[in-house]
This record gives sequence, C-alpha cells and structure tokens, in this order.
Amino acid sequence: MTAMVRPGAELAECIADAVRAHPAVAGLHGGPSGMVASYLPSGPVVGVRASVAGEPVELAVVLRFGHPVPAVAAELRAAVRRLAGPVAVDILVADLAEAA
Amino acid sequence: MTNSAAPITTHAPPAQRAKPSSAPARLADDPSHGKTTIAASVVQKIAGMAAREIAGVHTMGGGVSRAFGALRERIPGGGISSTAGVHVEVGEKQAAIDLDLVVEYGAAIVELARSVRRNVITAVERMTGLEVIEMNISVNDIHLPGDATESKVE
Repeated sequence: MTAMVRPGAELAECIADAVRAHPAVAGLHGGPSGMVASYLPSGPVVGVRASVAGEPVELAVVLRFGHPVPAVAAELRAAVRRLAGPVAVDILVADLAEAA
Repeated sequence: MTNSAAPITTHAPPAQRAKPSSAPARLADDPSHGKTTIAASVVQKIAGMAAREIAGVHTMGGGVSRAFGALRERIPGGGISSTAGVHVEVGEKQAAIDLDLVVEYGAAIVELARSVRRNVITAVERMTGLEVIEMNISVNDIHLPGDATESKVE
C-alpha cells in the first residue's frame, strides 16, 4: 500500500483506492443522501470526504459479509492515516454486500 | 443526600451477562481517531442471516412483508429479502433487535427462540462489536407440512 499520496493525484482518490483495496470492502457508498463525497476537477469521489490535508476524513463503505466491523474499521482507519496523516477518520458502514 | 435521583445512563450495567468484554468496547477506542458508525441495514442483514441459519425457522416477516416478499421473489433480480421481519435500532455502542418469525410445524418454539436469540446475538456482537441489549422474537405463524403456498427459505 502506498505510504504517500501519489504526485498528481488528489488525496481523496488515493484514499478511495486504498479503501477499495481492502479485501473486506465491497465498495464505497455515498452515505445518507449521498453526502459523503469529494468534489474534484476530475469528478466526484463518492464515499470519501477528504478535502484538505489535516482535516478529518469521512468514509462511507459497503463491506462484504462475514468480516468483523471493528477490525475492518481499524484497518481502514490505519490505511487512511498512512495517507492523510494523523487525522480523525469517521467511518460509516453503510451496508453489507450479500455475497452468499 | 441520597443518590436516588441518579441520572439514567444509556450504558448497560457492566458484566450483567457472561460475554467477552472486549468486543463491544472496541468501537469506542481512540475517539480522537474518528468514530465508526454502523448503519441499521447492516445490523438488519446480519440478524436476518443469523436467524435463518437456525433449522426450524421457516421464513421471516409478518403477513404484509411476506406478501410483498412472495411477489418480489418472482421478479428477476428481486431475490429474497434478507431484511424482512427484522427491525433494529442501532445506537453508538448498542443495538436492539425485533424479529418476526414463521416456524416449521414440529419445532419446539421456546427452544427454537432460544437458539435464534443466541445465534443472532453472537453474530451481531461478533461482526459489529455492538452490544445487543434487547432481542424480541415474535412467532407470528407456523408453517404446516404440505402448505406449499410459499417457497422454503434456505
């Protein structure tokens, strides 16, 4: 996993890639009424609100069935904090994907 | 001055039930690192799946949601709703669950309810870290053999 934000890429995009790379994450979610999103020149990043470095990051994710939420949340939080620095990471588990 | 007017807290008294004390509290660690919120539909799906795992549970839901469910199963891509008959209230650390069940004829309902309760509470607490403070089960119908109006929920 990248430890730094890629040059030329926005923080929100890097966070979105890192979160999607987690095996327990089925996808990102817009949150209640699609409020969790970052608006970038290249288009909105749904499920990640990370505007300025140093500001709290908000995630809304859909998890796969069968993973313990607290453990996954801790791993996601650690992954985001590797990219965004020591900020608060609010995680909303918006839904579960039904695999089976 | 007595403490009879002690404020009512939303936290359950500790160690009322025998369960690993680590699981629910993990949601609350490091508040400065951000909070984890679990949507009600997440708890609903976990509870629905866990209840269906128990043999003797025929299907879930009251009359209305089963009628809609029977309709929805016939729609391609509609599938069987895993949340029918499950109502949850989710707080920051705790959850309350209400289940509506239809049981198979021949099942010992008291035993069945006990198994469902145990399985649902275990699944929800293990997967979400929320403490289940209340779990109401209402058995609102019984499925008789040969009564093939509904497909069996596997």
